[in-house]
Amino acid sequence: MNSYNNKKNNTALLAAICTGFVATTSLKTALSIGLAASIVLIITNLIMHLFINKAPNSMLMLFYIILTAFITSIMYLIFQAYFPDIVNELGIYIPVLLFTISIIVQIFLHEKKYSILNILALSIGFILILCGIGIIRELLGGKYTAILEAPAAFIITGFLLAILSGIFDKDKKTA
Amino acid sequence: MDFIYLLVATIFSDNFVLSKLLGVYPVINKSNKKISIVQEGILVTISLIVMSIFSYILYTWILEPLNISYLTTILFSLILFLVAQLTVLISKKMGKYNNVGISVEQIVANSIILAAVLIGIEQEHILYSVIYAIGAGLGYTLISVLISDAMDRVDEDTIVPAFSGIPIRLIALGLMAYAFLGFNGIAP
Repeated sequence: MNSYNNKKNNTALLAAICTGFVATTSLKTALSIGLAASIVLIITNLIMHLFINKAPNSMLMLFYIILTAFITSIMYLIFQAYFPDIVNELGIYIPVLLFTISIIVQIFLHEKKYSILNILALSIGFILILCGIGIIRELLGGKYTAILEAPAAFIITGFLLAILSGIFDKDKKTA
Repeated sequence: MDFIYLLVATIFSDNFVLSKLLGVYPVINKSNKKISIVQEGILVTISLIVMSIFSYILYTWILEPLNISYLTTILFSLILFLVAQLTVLISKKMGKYNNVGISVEQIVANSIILAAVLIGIEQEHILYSVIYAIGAGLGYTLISVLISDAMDRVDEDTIVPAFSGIPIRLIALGLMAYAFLGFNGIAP
C-alpha cells in the first residue's frame, strides 16, 4: 500500500514538474511559481477537505476546478500588485501554470481524500526540483546562452531525473 | 496570406510544446498506439476551436466593455470544463472507432488549451484566434506522433535503467526541439 502511494505521489510530482518548465529560466521565477503553485494547492485541498462530505460525489471535480480558478485569480492579482517584474517576464503563463499544476496533481493523486500532509510533502519536493532546474539554467546560462533557450529545459530535466532515480530508486523500471 | 503564415508559425516554428514548453506531460505520458494518439489530438483540436470561439466572443463583447477582465481565469475555466464535457460526449459517439478513452480531467489538465485561448483573445479578429487554436492543436498532435515514433525506434533493452521511461523521452523531446529551432524564420 505504501509503495503504491509513493508511486502515485511520484507520478503527480513528475507531472507538476513537467508542467512548470516555463518558469525555470531563472531561480527567481522558479521559486515564485513554485511557492505560488504550492499555496494554491494547499488552500484548495484544505477547503475541499472541509467540504468533501457536503457535496455530491460527481460534482467534486467541478468544485475543485472552480475553486482552483478562483484562488489562481487572487494569486495573479497579488503578483500584479507586488511582483510586477515577474509578471513582465511570464505574463499570462502565471494563471495557466498555477491552474494546470493544481488540476494535474489532483488527477494523478486520484484520491477523493484531499489529505493535507501528502500535498505538503509533494509541494516541498516540487519547489526543490523546480529551483534546482532554475539554478542550473541560470548558472550555465550566464556562460552559454543556448541553455536559456527552450530545448535545454528538457535535456537538463531528463539528466536530473535520471540522476535522482539512479540514486534513490535502485530497482525501479519507470521514473 | 496572413492566415497561412500564422498557421505555419504556430505548427512549426512557434510550436506550443517545443518552444513554449506547455503540455509537456500529456505528450510524453502516452502509449505508443498511433491511432489513439491521432484521435486524442483531433479531440484536443476540436475543443480548442470551440473554446477559442466562445472565449473570444465572451471576452470582447462582455468582459472588456464592462471592464471586468479580472474574471477571465474563472470564466474561462468554467467554459473549459463545459467544452471538455462536450468533447467527451463526441468521443463517446464515435462508437467502435473510439480508441482513446479520454476523460474530462485529461482535457482540463492540458495547459495548451488555456494558454492558446488566453493568447488568442489578444488578436484583433476572431478568425486569427481560431487559426491560432487550430495551429496549436495540430502542433500538439504532430509532436505527440513524432515522439511516439521516436520511442518505437528506441531499443528499450539497451538503455541504462535509470534513464528508461520518462527521462529518455524528455531527452528525445529536447533533441527534437533543437531540430525544430531550424524552422525559425520560416514565416516572416
